[in-house]
Amino acid sequence: MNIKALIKSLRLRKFATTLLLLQLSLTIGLMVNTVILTLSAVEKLERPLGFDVDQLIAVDLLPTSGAFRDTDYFRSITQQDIAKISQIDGVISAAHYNQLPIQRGGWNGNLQPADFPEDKVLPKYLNYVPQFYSSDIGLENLGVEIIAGRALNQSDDFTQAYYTPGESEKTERNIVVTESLAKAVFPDKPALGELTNNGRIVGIAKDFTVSPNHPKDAKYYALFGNFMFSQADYTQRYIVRVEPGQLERVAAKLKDTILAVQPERDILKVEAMPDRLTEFYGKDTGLASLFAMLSVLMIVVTIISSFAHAHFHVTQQRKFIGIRRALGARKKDIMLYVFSENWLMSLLASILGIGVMIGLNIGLSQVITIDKPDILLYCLSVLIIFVSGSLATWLPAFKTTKISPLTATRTL
Amino acid sequence: MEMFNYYLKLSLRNLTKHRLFFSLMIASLAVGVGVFVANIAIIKSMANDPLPHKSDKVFNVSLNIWTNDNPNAKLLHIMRYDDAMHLLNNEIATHTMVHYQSQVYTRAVDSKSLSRVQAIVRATTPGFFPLTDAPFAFGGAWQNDRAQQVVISDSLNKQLFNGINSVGKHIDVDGKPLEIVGVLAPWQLKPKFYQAAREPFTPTDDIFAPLETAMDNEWSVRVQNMSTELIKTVSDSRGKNAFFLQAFTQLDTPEQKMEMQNYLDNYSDLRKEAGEYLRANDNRLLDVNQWLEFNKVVDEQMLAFGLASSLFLAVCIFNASSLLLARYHSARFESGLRRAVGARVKDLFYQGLVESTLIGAMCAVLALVFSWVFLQLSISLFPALENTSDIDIGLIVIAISIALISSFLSMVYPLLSSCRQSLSTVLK
Amino acid sequence: MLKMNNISRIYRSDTIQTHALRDFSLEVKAGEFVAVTGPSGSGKSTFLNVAGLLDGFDQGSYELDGVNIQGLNDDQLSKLRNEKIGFIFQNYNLIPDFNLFDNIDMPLRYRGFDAKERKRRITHALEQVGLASRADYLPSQLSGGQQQRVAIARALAGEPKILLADEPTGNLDSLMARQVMELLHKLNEQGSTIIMVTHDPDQARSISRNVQVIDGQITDHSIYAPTNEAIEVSA
Repeated sequence: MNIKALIKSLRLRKFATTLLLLQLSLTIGLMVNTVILTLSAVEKLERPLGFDVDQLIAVDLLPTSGAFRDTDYFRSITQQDIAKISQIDGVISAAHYNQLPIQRGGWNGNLQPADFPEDKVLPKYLNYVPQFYSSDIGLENLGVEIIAGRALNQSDDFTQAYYTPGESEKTERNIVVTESLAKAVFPDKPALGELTNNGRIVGIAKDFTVSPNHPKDAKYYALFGNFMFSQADYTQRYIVRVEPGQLERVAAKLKDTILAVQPERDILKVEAMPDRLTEFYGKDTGLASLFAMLSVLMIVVTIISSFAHAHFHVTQQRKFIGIRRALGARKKDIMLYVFSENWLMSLLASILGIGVMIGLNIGLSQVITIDKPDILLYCLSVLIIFVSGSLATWLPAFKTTKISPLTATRTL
Repeated sequence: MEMFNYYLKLSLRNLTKHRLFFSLMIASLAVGVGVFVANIAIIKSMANDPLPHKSDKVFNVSLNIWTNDNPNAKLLHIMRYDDAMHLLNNEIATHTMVHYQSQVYTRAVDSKSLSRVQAIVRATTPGFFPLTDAPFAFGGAWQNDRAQQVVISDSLNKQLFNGINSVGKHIDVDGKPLEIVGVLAPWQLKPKFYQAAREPFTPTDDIFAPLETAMDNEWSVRVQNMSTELIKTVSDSRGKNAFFLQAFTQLDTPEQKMEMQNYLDNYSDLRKEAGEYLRANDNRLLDVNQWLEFNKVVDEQMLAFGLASSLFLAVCIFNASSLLLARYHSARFESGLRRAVGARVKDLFYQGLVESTLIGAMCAVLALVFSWVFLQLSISLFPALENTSDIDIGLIVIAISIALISSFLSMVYPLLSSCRQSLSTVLK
Repeated sequence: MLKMNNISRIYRSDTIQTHALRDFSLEVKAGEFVAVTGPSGSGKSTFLNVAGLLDGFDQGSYELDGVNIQGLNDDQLSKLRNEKIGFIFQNYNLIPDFNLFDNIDMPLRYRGFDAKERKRRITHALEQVGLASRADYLPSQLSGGQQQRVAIARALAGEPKILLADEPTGNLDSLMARQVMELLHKLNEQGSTIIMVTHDPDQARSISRNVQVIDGQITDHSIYAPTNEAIEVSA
């Protein structure tokens, strides 16, 4: 195949060629970045979380009556709720929580050794350690193991002290922290048994994902205390742990079970944990879907253009092709000629596409977090461009074989 | 005008003759414009100025009072009760208000039904209403700081009282009656700038209540605190290091703004003298638009998609342009003939312009349909956009202009090159 | 009517210069019927393109109906083409999706006539070529000869000063060619000035004045004398 002749013929149609090249390279650039976004959204969704997501249902509820301002009443109703829920067929256990894992914001505070010097700066994420207050089975209910020390027990419950004037300051609380948090707070010595500003560490739990948006180990930071926060204005959360496969059946019963205990509550949400996870990453997956839609549309438009380009070219060169045929070119020689033009375009576009891909990636990284492009994805996109371009060229190329050698001799 | 009609007739004839070609071209252009416009619709309403006539005069007050030397700590946008009271006592600003958000369950006292509705509460001070230009349908703000009185929104008034003048009636929260002294007319700030840090595109608050009353009634609040001191209840946070109030102030002149800045700096100095450990003074007054920008109210995902959708629009224009190039190439005989019998270049150009306008108009109609579809799609993928965007007149005008411009852009080179061709060769 | 003095037209490509016309001089008076003959590539078509203001020239002067062409801009040239010149092409150049009426209407549109005037002229032109009853036919529904008559009607409708015909019978069989020639002779008798390029010596012989172009130059005037036969044809 005569590349020189091809390039010359393309140069004769500078404008159309430039347009198609731009389109192809923009398509490559967008496609690569789309796949990057999609992959990272999928990766986030599939990253193991370290607790039994698939067996958990979360309930959000709010009291609607002033009676709940009495903390004793509040607590007795909550205990009755948990008891009733635990009796539902298929439920393994249930507990109340002040907040749920997989969240933004929440109930956070600093965690530092009790003897932490005042003038020392605490690492950033130790200022925002999520504080979980639940019953003694809080961690077990999530499916998180204790790897050192002991789990919280009933005697660790400081609810009574909290709500008794003057008691709270006197009581030393017992807490369980996650492994990464223990290492972060006490980098130089075993954390077990140490006193922190939030209480004494009596147990260390295996790491599980609490704040997915935090970097590295800060994802796993969490401390647990045995305490029932009883403030009627705050959304209460129950987590129900069910037998495998019972999610839907149990979820359907929860609302009625809770309202049967006391009807003056607004059940804000009953949601399986996996759905909560999907929702948490909704923006990521949403953006990836929008980009995917755009990429598909872009490929379609590019196919139309490739088709038009090849078609236009073939029509223009009808006579020339006829002459070639008359001079003995076989049908497949002519087809190859038309295809090779498309391939040359795709090749040039894939070179330009590198620039577009990197440019778009930099542009996007100004507004969102996006991974860097990699070679494999680039090659994949180039392949798609080649395939779709060849498909689009097939019809015009096939048509050239219908051009009779007679065209050459016909004077127009 | 006669030529215009003639060209219109010719264009219509041309479009119907090459139906498939033009529908492909118009559709692909319209998809590009549609996606782009849907994106603009979202970004435009996110970037909307909620108080266009005085957004440069209303300021968020961020005080340097967070006793923390952590270099990562940002300047806080919320303040303690005592700070807020000090700020409210200024005699500089035209209006000042502080607020926090809460949520209660309520019902009309007279109602036969016992069921309660969830209501978003804005616990605030009377300055809120003139500062945000909230329009009253009936009554007005409360006069007394601790009045057991509230102002309710139009939608809550409709929900509880069927939209009648409910001033003087009572609602029940936690078993306590609260008197309605004012009812707002239908009103929606887009975005709710005073809530920029969190869900600024939610509907108007349902209940506006005196700050002191809300605190006395222990209506919940999200608190940030930095001490180990115990704050048991909402009312208990007075005088303690609980940060939960946000402040805005209206300063009509630069002098007022300067005075206010001094007032704030003096206050920080005072707190420092009182023994609080503060960073260097950086009390900050950001006007409404700066404040919205600071809080990144315009969704980043949508900006990212905006980048992609403008590239896509470019690709669609390129596509239309190369299709038209082929079209004009095969129609060059006719344009050559027209030139031969006396059409000037500008006549052909005019004809092309009419055709491009016709294509643009058809593209605009289709693009509006597409953009509606994409808007629904975006909302289904990003439920938070629900109340953000709507297709209004301004947007329709934008859509039509973008469609016309795109169609013209894609037409211009093919048209010029067909006008430029040499006459003697075409007609041979 | 038409006065060319020492016209040169040179086509340049990267490597070659072609003198399509050199020192070409010709004067045609009002009411004349001139046949231009010559071998292929002699410059006949270039002459016709220059005469019809479709192409420019490099040297010399050209005056059409008292207007000096030199230095006119595109708008002025277009206006001249529209008002003073009627073209008749070998392959008719009718727009296939326009009916006869709309085809003839086209140049009149650019003239700015109102609808009534255009209609009058179109009807009249179609009457002149004997196709008045077929105004709403499409070109494809007509024979080649008829199509060429439509093209002639299109040229006539603007009441041009001069008709330029480029081998108008080249694509027609002899019977149809005769009919077209008869029509041209008739128009000439009615006062039209006509310049016709042809390679058919018989046809040329029927025309009062002959001009031969060889190598871009006029080599001879009136090789063929008008014959009786031609007069019979035109009668």
